Amino acid sequence: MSNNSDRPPFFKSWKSMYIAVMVVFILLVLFFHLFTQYFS
Amino acid sequence: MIVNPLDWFVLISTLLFIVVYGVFKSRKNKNMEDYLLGGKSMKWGTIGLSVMATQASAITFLSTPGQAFESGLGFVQNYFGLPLALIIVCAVFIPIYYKLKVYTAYEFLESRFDLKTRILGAFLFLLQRGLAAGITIYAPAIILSTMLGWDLSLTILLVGVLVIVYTVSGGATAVSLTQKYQMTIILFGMVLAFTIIINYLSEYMSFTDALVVGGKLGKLQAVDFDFNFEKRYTFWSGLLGGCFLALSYFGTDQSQVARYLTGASIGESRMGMMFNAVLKIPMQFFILLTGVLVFVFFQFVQPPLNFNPQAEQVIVEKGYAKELSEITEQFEAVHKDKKNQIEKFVTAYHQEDAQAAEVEAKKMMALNNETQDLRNEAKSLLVQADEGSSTKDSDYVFLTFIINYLPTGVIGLLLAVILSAAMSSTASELNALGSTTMVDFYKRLFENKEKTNPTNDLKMSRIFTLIWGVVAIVFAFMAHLAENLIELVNIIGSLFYGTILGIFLVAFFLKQVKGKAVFIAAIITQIVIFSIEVLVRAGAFKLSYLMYNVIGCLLVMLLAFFIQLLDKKTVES
Repeated sequence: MSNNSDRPPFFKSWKSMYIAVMVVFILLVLFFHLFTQYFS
Repeated sequence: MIVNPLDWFVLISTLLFIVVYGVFKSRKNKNMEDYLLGGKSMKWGTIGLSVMATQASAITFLSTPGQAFESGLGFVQNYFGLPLALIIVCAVFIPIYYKLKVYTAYEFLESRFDLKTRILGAFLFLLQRGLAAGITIYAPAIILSTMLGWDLSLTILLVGVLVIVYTVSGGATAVSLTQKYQMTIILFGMVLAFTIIINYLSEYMSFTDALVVGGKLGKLQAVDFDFNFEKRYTFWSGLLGGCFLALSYFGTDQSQVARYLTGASIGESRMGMMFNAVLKIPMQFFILLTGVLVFVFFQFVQPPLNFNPQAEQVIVEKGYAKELSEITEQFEAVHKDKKNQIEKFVTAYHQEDAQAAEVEAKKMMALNNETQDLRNEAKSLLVQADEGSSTKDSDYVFLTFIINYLPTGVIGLLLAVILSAAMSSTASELNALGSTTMVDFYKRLFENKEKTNPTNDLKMSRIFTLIWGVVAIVFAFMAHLAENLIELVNIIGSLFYGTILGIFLVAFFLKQVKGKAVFIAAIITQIVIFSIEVLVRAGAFKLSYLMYNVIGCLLVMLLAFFIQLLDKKTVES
């Protein structure tokens, strides 16, 4: 349902932007997991 | 406690700057669109900070570090559903709101269903947000008045009246523009506090050592993949419950919808939301980590037995001074032993002797449990002295640190951070409550359409915002301290959000369902959710309040679907 006529900065489409956001989230969870493992 | 004149200067000048700036920059409002949607002119940076400031209330900055002090980083998982929820809002909700050119989210419900569903959605919003607005003002007021000796009524009035001044006069433009500066001050203040704690800790140990100590004492478990839904914070409840909560909050709560509807274009609105999808979790993690560092700091500096200064006063007044003095003596002795033990552990850790470090860590943990037991003993004494007293003191931890250990000037800045946060979220709430009352009730139900004119609409919008400001102040005066303030706001939200989200998801995805079916489903669901809350409070079973969002939403969708099916069969027969 994304509107491609209104392109986001840095990305070709909103779909790529959403994928990038989810990748950042997964990396964050991975970081938290390693953080927890290392310090606990 | 008497605050230094320099702190007063920093605090008052910061707050006055925000109010004057808000009033000045928004003085050109000509009509209802300017007032309620900021003339649809905002860029994504302003929208992003405004959305962030709306969600981050004073409670966030008082309760969150205290929560980390008490139970570690686990609370961050509550926000794990947020990125996915914001993506759904950007892909599904925002395009529809823009297409229909709505002022409020609930207008959409009438175009999809009928008037009664729109009014039900708007009513549920007014009910829960009206209550929450009172808590948003009350929460920091009660803590500031207890810690600083300020008069509670005056503190409530100070926050309430300042917000009313610029929100009523400047509307959405004033709210968004002031939030941009409020959020900048908040982030600067928190980074400064974090840096100062690290600097203080460097007297005893490095940053990494502080993390190792915090970790060994059980404060650094950020992720828990346990499938037990009775646990309050796990990865799964955060991802599932948090997603439904965030979807409902950002997609259907007018205090957030109004923020991104001020966007100059659909792209600006979406970017503002993506800004939050990326930065919100790291920000919460950072605030929680600040709380953990405050915890480590209090391993070296003697903390009070109870961080709420009124607790000791109550115990002494009720004649338990001797018992308190005995516990305090033991607490101070164990604290000294623990401090020495932590130093021994760090030395062993540095010598890379894993076995010795483990032995020292176990002794350190045992002493930590001992201090925790003594704190609990003092809490039991407080209940013995006065049954009605709240034993939870985590909301007072961060403020105790601020006013006792931060340098002059920085205290004023941090107090400005807390009050700015209270003002920014209250401003959004009043703006949204005013616009919903104006658009969904007054203009839709009561206004004579032939006599409508822009000047009158603007005047009425201001009047409704003012009325909600007064109502919020009245609620703040009536509020009572809950176990944990941040949780109370989330629990109130979760009681209603599932139902509201369910109505919207039926609207988007179950095209065959009509207004009558979704209306009945929503009423039944709301009764079921209230009943579950009563049973949980009565101890019949345990359930994380985040799950109310999931249950409420799915129940509305299921019931609406089957009621529609039943209705169709009845008509056919």
